[in-house]
Amino acid sequence: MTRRRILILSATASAINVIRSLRDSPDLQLFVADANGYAGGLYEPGLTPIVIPHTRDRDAYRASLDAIIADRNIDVLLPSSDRDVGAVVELYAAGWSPRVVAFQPSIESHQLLANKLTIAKLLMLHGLPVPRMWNNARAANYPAVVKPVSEGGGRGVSIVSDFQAAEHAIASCEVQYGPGVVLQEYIPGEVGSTYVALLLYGPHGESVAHATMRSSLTYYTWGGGGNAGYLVDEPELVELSRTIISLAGGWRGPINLEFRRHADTGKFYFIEVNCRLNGYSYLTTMNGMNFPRAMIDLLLDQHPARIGPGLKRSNFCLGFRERVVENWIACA
Amino acid sequence: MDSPADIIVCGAERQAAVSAALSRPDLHFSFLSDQAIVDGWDLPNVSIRLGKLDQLADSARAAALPCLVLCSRWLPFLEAGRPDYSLDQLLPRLATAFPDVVTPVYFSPPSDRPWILKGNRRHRPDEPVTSFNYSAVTIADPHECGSVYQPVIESRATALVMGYRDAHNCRLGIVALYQEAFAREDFLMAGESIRDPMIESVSEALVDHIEHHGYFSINWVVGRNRRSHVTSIRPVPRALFQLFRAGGIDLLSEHDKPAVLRPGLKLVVDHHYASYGP
Repeated sequence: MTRRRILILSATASAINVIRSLRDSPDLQLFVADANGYAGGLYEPGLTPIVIPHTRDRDAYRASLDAIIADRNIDVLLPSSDRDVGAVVELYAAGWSPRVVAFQPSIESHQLLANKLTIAKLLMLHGLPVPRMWNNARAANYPAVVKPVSEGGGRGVSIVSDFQAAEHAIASCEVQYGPGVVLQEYIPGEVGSTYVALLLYGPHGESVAHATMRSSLTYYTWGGGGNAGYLVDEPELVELSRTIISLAGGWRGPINLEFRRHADTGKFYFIEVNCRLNGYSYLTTMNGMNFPRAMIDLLLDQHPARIGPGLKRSNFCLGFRERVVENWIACA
Repeated sequence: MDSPADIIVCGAERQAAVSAALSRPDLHFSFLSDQAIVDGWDLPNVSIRLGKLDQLADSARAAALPCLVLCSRWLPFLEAGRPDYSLDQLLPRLATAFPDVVTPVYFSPPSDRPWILKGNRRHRPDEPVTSFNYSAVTIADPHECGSVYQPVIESRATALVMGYRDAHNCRLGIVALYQEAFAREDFLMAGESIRDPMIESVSEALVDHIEHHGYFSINWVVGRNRRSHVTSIRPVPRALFQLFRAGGIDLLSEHDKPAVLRPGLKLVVDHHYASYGP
């Protein structure tokens, strides 16, 4: 049997889900690349780890991918982090033409969806439920949320209680993450208020599968990515997500949208889009919905197994467990 | 039916809980936590009880078993009369005895240099709050850790010393921290054991000076001038039990000889998914 060679870009968070969902497939051989030689996914058993340049060093990054694709005879490219997705989208838009198959969403859709400010403004124009935003800290209602426009996973997010704190947080955010900061209404809600809709679009933009889930423990004490959670049935979120993606011009590949449910009104508010599998998407594989496998099948023009409603109803808890290793992965 | 417990773990929501359980698969661990969700339900040598901290602490005392305390919140309930390990009590005292090494803390932020906010009674969770990203007047303390300010040391490296000291000896190890995740806990993500005679000797001298008994963790920062500084000391262990075990030191067992962890032992994080709940 000829094994198809899969290059997974990034070795943390959602990449872990991809690795674990695919490693038992006898027809696949996994290669995992990350700029951080200490990334946990590089040390997973049964794969070939590779350290590559950071995406910000775009020329070196591209050259490294070209070399890996050629030397390792890669068949499928799966970027799994925000930075890798963004870099690959930009490379394709600039004319990159590697001899692999990969999802190729439009750069226009990506730029719109990946920017918290532009997507929120677009949705407001269409009357979709988005937290209020302000241009001026003195005009805002408090508490409010300050966050960079292009970071995921809760990075750089702060909840501020007055305009002085907001001004300070905005200035600090710009220093740390660059220009572009969102000052937004805080949607009240305790643990369990954060919902995620995960959708999979095919190589031609067709809707293939979806799942909705809810976190019961978050990465930070105040929120952020889910460290525990379970599947839920929320068709409203699926429809809302499809509408949002349609307004942005469509998508190809996996994509997840985060919503927050208002503690008092129960209304869902759109928070952000992440143009990849969500960080805890292994929950879906635990429930018999193997999104990474479906992604491979779609790209290889194989009929993907149906991903319907979860066959099981397992919850998940993410543990950051200590693993003793023999050697460090050598740098590129 | 659960096996009888060999060790009770208080504060089992901490990363160190599973680290301990994995280091001794031959022992049965009873995890106690006042948090709703903890890791470890899939481990065959772990049983888990969730509830109110004071009630769980009562049951831990009544069990009369070895008790591994991973979170300082439990100490007042388990060890009456224990010395105050708040940083505002400990670091100034140690800074007097070790003036060039221990970095003091203050109740007000220094006005003339960068600072970092630290939890006084225990580690403050989530991303670090520094003078670079916050104004001091608006910082809340939602987890009631207590707030103290410490001058920032521009660092080229950080290290964690963890160990156990009793009346007979001290066993410790130094781990160079290559990666941490500052989230609901300060998760250890990658590191490697090293030897550093100065850090070893001073760390041991620090715990001797305060006549500490039990587990300890000491954070060291190696400044850009290559001088090393202590920035905190806490009376709890961290998630390094397996690393110690790989180096031949079982911190869960009594030992009659001092020991220092050998260098070159490496750890990375395993992002582990399992279901939770009975």
